[in-house]
Amino acid sequence: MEKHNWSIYIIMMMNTPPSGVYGKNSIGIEQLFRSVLESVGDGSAGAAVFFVGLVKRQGRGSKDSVGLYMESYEEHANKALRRICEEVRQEYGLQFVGVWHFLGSFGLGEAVVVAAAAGAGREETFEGLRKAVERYKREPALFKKEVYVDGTEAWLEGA
Amino acid sequence: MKVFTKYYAFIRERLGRSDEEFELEEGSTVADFLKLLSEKYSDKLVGLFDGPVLRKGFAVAVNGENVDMSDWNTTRLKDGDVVVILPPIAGG
Repeated sequence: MEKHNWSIYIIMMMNTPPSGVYGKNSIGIEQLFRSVLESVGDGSAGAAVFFVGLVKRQGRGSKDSVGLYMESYEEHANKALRRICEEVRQEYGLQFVGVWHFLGSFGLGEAVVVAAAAGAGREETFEGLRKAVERYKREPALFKKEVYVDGTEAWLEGA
Repeated sequence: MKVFTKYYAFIRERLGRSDEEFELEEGSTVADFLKLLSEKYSDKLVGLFDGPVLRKGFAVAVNGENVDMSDWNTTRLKDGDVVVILPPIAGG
């Protein structure tokens, strides 16, 4: 994994960190939710929608998973995530779109990614968030390896 | 000129390294780089290449931006460029 100055993001937690990839546990999810709500808290937004991607037991194959490992070409992934968020924000006329994808090893039930959207109405906010989720699964250089109950592992091909 | 590459996912695991530096002739293209890589690692990267051509599902980025397959033969690399083969992408 590429070197990253995580301390910068810890300091930035009072503000919403930019969309991108971050080390596991470098961003508190509750703080993230709070900062997004505060950033659109002037009364102009009528909806804020959050998506949290979790590690599930049922993997791609026939075997159950016990966890997964995420890695990234960070320069590519950060550019792609920021581009996705800005394009979706403009396309759906939203006030805010953000995606924060975590890297490292994760156990079942742990959060791997958080996406958020906020806008005037719920319809466009739900739709915009869904679009951002579908795009982050396919465009940023994120690579996922599932770890199975029998101790084997497999890199996934496609989201 | 020198170009740099980084390896990710199963490519990194098969090669046992995360990055590498290559010496290429001035004016070399993305396709020239892929040919060099496919020849150097023809044993370890079985299944990644079909001859010098990357298998479907893989992409190439230069300095963090994708280069379309249709442009691999005409996109010239510069000294210091970072060329990365992107394995199939799977966001969480």
